[in-house]
Formats: sequence, C-alpha cells, structure tokens
Amino acid sequence: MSEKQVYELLSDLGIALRLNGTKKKKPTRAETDIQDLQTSSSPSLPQATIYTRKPQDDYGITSITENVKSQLGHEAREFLDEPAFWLKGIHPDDAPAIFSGFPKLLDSGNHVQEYRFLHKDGTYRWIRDHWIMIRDDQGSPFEIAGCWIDVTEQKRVEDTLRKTVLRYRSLVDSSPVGMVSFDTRGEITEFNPAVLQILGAPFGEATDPKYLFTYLPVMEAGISEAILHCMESGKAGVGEYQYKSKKERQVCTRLHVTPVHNGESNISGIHAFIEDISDQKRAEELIVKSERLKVLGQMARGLGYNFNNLLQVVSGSADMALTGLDMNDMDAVRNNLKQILESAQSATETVKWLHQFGRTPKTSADSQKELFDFSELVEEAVEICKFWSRAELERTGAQIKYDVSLKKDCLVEGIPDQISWVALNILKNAVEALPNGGRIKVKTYIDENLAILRVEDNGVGIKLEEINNLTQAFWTSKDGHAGMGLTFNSEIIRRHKGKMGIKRMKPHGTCFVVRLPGAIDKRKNGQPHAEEMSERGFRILLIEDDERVLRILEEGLKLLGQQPICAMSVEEGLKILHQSEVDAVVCELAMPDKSGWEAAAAVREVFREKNVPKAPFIALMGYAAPEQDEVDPSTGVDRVLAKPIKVPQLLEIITQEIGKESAGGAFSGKVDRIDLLEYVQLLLLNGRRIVLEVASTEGMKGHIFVDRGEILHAICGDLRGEDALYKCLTFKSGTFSTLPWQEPEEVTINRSAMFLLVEAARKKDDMRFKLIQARESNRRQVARDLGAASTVIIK
Amino acid sequence: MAIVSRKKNEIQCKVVYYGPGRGGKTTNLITIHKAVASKVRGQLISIHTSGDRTIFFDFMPMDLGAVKNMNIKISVYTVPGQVIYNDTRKVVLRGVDGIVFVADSLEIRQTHNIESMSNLQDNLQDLGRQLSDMPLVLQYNKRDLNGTSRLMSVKQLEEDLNSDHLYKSFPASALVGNGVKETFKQICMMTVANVCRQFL
Repeated sequence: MSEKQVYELLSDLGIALRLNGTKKKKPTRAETDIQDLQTSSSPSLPQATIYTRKPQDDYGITSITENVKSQLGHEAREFLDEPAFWLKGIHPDDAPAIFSGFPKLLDSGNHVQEYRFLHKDGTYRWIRDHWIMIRDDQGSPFEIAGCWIDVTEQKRVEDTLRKTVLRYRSLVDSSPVGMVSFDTRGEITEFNPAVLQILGAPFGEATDPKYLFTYLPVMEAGISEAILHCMESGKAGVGEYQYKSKKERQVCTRLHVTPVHNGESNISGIHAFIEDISDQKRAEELIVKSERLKVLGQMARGLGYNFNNLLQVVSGSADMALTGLDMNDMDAVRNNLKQILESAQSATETVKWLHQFGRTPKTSADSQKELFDFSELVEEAVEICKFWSRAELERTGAQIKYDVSLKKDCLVEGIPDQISWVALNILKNAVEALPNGGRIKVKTYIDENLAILRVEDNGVGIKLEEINNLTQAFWTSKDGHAGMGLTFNSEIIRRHKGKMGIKRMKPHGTCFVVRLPGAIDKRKNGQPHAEEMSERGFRILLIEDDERVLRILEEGLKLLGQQPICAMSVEEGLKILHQSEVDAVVCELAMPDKSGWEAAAAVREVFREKNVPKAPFIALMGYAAPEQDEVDPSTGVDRVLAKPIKVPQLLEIITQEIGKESAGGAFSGKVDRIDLLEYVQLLLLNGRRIVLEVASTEGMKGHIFVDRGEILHAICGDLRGEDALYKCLTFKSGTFSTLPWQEPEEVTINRSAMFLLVEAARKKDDMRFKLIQARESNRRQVARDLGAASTVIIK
Repeated sequence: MAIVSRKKNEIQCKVVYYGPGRGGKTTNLITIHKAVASKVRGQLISIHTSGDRTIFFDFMPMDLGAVKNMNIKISVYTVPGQVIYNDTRKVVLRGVDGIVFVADSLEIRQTHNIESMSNLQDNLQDLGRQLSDMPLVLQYNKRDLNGTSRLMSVKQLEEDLNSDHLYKSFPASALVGNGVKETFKQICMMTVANVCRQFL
C-alpha cells in the first residue's frame, strides 16, 4: 500500500476520525496513525476498524487493524488467514444487498452500506461499512480500502425512537381531539384525521395541509385570529367556534391553542387542539329545555288558577247581565259586559306571557346575536314570574311586593331568549327565598357602559359557606330541583361576556347582580335610513309558512328597529289584522291555505271593514321570476318582490309603500285661490297615491286617480279617461279635495303625466282664445249691427 | 326648482327653451335629441299646439357625471311661443332650473322677441321667481338666413334683449345645426352648477 493511498484513505476517513473525536496527527506512517487512532479513542465510543481488501472474487481482507477484536470479537488474523471469513460472517438476509452495491462502488469509487455481521459471541452486530475503491495507475481496480463501525447501539436507539414516534403517531391519529400544527407563518404543517372529521371533510380529500381550512372559511377566520393572537402574545388560549359542516350540520367546537417553544423564548409554532363539543352543547340545551318545561308546568298551575278566577268573573258577570236584561237595567248590563271584557283582556294578556315564555327556544347553534333592550326582557320576566308564583302565594297567603325600576334602552347584544331565562331564573330564586312573603327589588341601569340588573330580596338568604356552591352544577338547597339554574345562568352570562355577582344582604336577604356589556345602538348610528323610521318602528305583519324564512325576516326587521308580527298562515294573519293595527303586510305568494292574491283581497276587505286606509301589501315570490314593478293595483297587492330579498331592502320598500299609503291621512285642509293645474303638478311630483275630487262651480264633478307620479284614471260625468281628465282640468273655477287612495275600477290613461298636463294647459289656452275670438267676433257683430242700425237711424 | 330624489339617487333639473313662436326652439330640441346618444335620452314627446309644438324629453348627460354620487337628469322642454298659450307656458315653466331664450334674428320679429322676453319675466314673477336668479342663455337664431331675409345685427339683438350684457349669447342656426350644441352645453353647465350650489 503506497503512502499516497494511505493518505487518500485517511482523508476519506475524516468522518470516522471526527466521530472518534481524535485530533489528526501528522501522519508519518499510516500504521502509526492507525495505531494512534486506536489508542486515543475512548473505549465507550464505537471504534473504526480500518482494513483493505481485494476488489474482486471473495473480497478477501488483505489488511485489518487490530481493534477489530474489540468490535466483533474476532482476531484480525482470522480475517487475513481465511479469505472467505468475511463473507461467511454476513447475515444471510443482508448479503444480497451488499453485492448489489458493488456496481455503484465501481462507478463512484465510494460506497457505504449497513449490514449485520456475526460476532464471536454468536450475536449479529450492525456494521456500517464504508468502502473506497483504490485504482492503480492504469485505472483498473487495485484494492478496496474501508472501515467498519459498529452501529448496533445507534440502530437500537433509532429503532426505539421510530417505535416511539409510531406509538405517538397512532396516539395522535386515533385521538378524538383534532390536532393541528402551525408554523410561525401560520401555515399548517401537520394535522391528524380527527381534524378532518370534526371539520366534516372526508379523509383523503385534503392531501395538502394548506388546503385543510379551505373547507371551512368560517372557521378559518376564527381560528387564524386565535392563532395570530397566540403567536403574538405567546399565551395559550381557548375559544369556541361554530360553523356549518359540509353536511349542513351545525358544529360547535372548542379550540385550544398553545405556542410551541424551541427551547428558548422563541415560538417555533403553534399547536391547536379542536374538540367537537356539539353533543355536549345539545345536552346542555336539553337540560335547559327540561328546566324550562318544569317552570312552564309550574306556571301552568298558576295560570289554571288565574283562569279559573277569570272564568268565575266572566260567568258571574254574564249571569248578572242576563238578570239586568230581564230587569231592563241597561247600565248594569253595560257594566257587566265591561267586566267580562276586562277579564277577557286579562286572560289574553296572560296567554301572551305564557306564549312568550313557552316559545321554543332556538338552539344556541342557530340563534343569532341581536340587539335588544335588557329592561324589556326583565319587565317580561317580572310579569312571567308574577304569574308563575301567583298560585303558590295565594295558597300560602304570603304576599310579595315588587319594586321595579327599569331604565329604558339598556341595550345589550346577545341572545334574548337566554338572557330572559337568566332574569327569570334569578327572579324565581328570589321568590323561592320568600316563602313567607316579602319584597323584591328589581332594578336595571347603565353604569360605565355596562347594563346592570339588580334583583334584591329580603328573604331567607344564603349561608356564607354556600355561596361558592351556588353556580356548581347539581347543587341545590331546594327540593325537587335539578340544581342547574344558576349553573346555566353563569354559563350564559359568561358567554355574553358578562358577570354575575351574589351578595348577602343585611339583615337577611340576597342580592344578585348581573352585568352585561352594553351595546351601542347601531340602529341610530349606522343605518342610513334610520331617520326615516319612526321611533318605535313599523308594525309589519309577516305571513310566511316557511318558519326559517319567517324567523330570518322577523329577526332582521327587529334588528332594524321594527316590530314584526309573525303569522304562519293567512288565516292567522287575518286574525291578527282584525285584532291589532298593522302598518304593512308582507306575505308569501304561495301560502298553503290561500294564495297571496286571495290574501291581499282578504286583507283589503279587513281594512275596509275597519274603515281605515289600507296598509301596503307586499307579496314575496318564492319561485324564480322577474321582479314585477308594475302590479295590477286592483288586486290589492302593492308590490311583488322575488325572494331572496335582503331585509334592509325589504324594509326600504315597506317604508316607501307606507309613505305612499299614508299620504292622505296626515293632513286635510283648504287651499284657496290655487290653480288646479299647479296643484295636480305638485301631486304628481311627490309620488303619492291619491284620488283628487274636483267640482266645478257649474256643478260638474270629477275624480282623478293619481298614482305615484302618473295619472291612471279620471272620471267626469259620463266621461272616462283623458277626456274626463281634460274636462276636470279645464274647469274654470270650483273646488277640489283629496281623498284617500282607492284603486280605480279601470286604468284608462297611460300617457306621461307631463304630456297630460301640458295638453290640458294647451286646451285651456285654446278655450280661452276661442272665447276671446268669440267675444271679438261678437263685438264686431255688435259693432256691425250697431253700425247698420246707426246708418238706418241716420237714414 | 330641481327635484332631488334620494330614493332614485338622482337630481332632476329642468331646462326650458323660451322665446317667440316660430323662433326655432323646437328645431333646437330636435337637433339636440338627435345628437344625444339614444342610451341616455328619453323619448321625445311632442304636443301639437296650433302653429307651434311643445316638445320635451329627458336625458342623462354622461359627461357631467355624478354630483355627490347623485346622477343628474336633465329634462328639456320647449314652450309654445304663441301669445295665447300663456297657461301652457306657465305649466312648463314651473320648477324651471335654466332657460334658453331663443330669439328670432328676422327684423320683422323684433317686437315678438321683446314681448316674449317680457312675458318670460312676468310669468316667472307669477311663479315667484326672478329672471336675475336664473341661469339664462340667449340664442340668436336663424343667422343662416343672412342674405335671403333682412336680419337684425347681433348688436341690435343684444341691445334689445341683453342691454346690460348680463347673459351669455350665441349666434346660431338651428336648422343647419350651428350654435345649437354650444347653447345647450352652456345652459346645462350653468344649470347643474346652480342646482348643486343650491342643494348640495
């Protein structure tokens, strides 16, 4: 082996040398260097055995360092004496792989492989074998130099590591909790299958983690914010997110985010854990519902009692009335009837409260947050509570005095149903704390942008040690209660970002304080049409059989400050119409019980019966069809709109229509010495619907139907249409008055209003001109006659 | 008085062509109507009065764009010039935002011009308006008849109708089309500027 070759060998063994932590000494001779290598290496580290071997045949070893003994237990001599010794020691499974590596060695002159080799003690050891091809001056293979390192330990560690990783991986993969890793740029690096399941994406569809969240834009928005926040603050966090999964299922998830630190304070990424808590939520809702039902049952008892009383009054009064009739005492009869009416009203009121409380609460998943007056809800709750407790109180003879002071416009944003539940629950607790009667103070007010409810009773009070238990689930001091009331209260309030406090009052009693973040009334600031709306909003009757649509419209209109009244059928709508005042009617055209057109006619009839101007009727069309601007006015339908329609847009149209309808009602009076043409021109300008009645001094009478800037119809005596219009407009003098809009029996005029006006003016001018001409000719005639006469006289 | 309709997001201005009968107002309007792209103009509506026609149409001048996000719509009217149609003129004149006075350059119409101008002043006064507050453009029409008929000089016309030189005036020939667009453009600009000053 030439010195040059040894150098080459050694330089290629740099890795081995470094591995052994040996300082490279001045290589005087290869042998000594190898000796050095051997002696200086610490025994615990795997040592490199350096050897040379034949480049062909049996690859017999031609030289080898002595340290082979420490590695494989065999003497160096054994390798040198028996050329096939090496071949025999190789694990039979690994041998084919070794030989397939030779062509590569010939190619590159360099090859590394790992295989098992039989130790003297009979076990196989893993060896990493590094071969270097040494060629002679002609370039043909001369010798293979190489080194062995025992990598058994390393292999073992790697294997254990791999198994551990696999174990963790399977743990992660089979976990029901979704896990997602993000890098510092917020890109997803890894996730487990549970994520896909929670997100509702089929496994395999999202091959690239980057596309994972494209399944759920809604969720992504929430999550990326949480992640960003986590990344910036370096703090772990928890949040809840709702979204609709691909299968239209409402999913509620809880998200935990924790930053991943890379040893120092730097954040190298974020871990996010997603839990599907929909079932949990549903269970919670079920419990709330059952609690509600229980209260409802209690209320029903109270109501039964209440109704019994009312019926007593009704039947008694009816009896009295009959007697009064017999005795012909009309005053008494009237009084009795009045009493009956009052009782009925009271019963209606009771039913209303019951209805309000009994309405099916929306599941939290699809309930939208909205702006509402906290005080209104509390007022409702107080009334419900009174009803609920009445029976019990009358039984025991106890009396509860309510001291209610509510601040108007305690605006809060949230889910009214839930807040109303909170208020009722607290009130109920207060009543229950007063088995012997007492006083309940209810107060709402605003303090530093917090809407606050205070409910104070002077009842039995809560023991100090019990205060901590109050909001715990299933804890109760009362019999027959699930003990969930305050638990849910605090949960609901927490979700509304509010706080609930409990105070013990002196000398006895309890005070509950609920603080909710106050909301700014966007209705007044943000809405461009706010000034057009009356303060309390319009009463809008919504008739729609699809409950979802109905709710959307209702919520939307409420949010915009209106007072929607809902009806699921035309029949129900008409009933409401009979009973209460309504500013506008919005009705689905295809109702199951009656078509929208029939409904419109019926609605018109109701208004006619009530003898009030008809409210605008807006029909919603479910099926796809072009929006109709022009609707036959005789149908009673004022507008037909195609669904879907955005609520603000709907409201704008309602406002427009109401503006037109209410034109006649606002003012009436006299306008003197005004040109009729001028007045009609004004009427046309303001876009109202009005019927103008014109009477001439000669006793002629006419009607002109002005509809939103156009003249539809005119009647004057026997005349109809344009002729009638011109006749009316060219009256020399007379009176006129405006009547509320009434659909004309027919539309006879379809020219542009400006044309009609100018034409009328022209006719008027023509008439006057003819009159002047007639007078002129008359005068001339007279003059002529006079002239003739005078001639005669002169004669 | 322009109509500002927030609902339609539109300001509707009214320009009236005033002047003696047979002075060329209708010719002016027909020429303009033809020149305006059909997309932005409304239908030309014509009412026949004996001897003269009253015509009107609406158009949306695109190049004026929108003022404060409101589109501008200009309704253009002519009045019947004959003395007897004064009520018609009043109806048309109500709510006017800008006036073009089309004067007849023919020497024999001199008194008609002057009478029409004073009638305009009277009618405006009846409607509670002042000519001096109103954008007004004068057009001396029929300049193309020079040579065939006896025409008044522009100087003479100015003396008759615009003695204080308060108003801008254009010589024109409605039949040929000269000066028509210039007059119209001027009145539109003045009207819109005035309306915007008042309302916005």
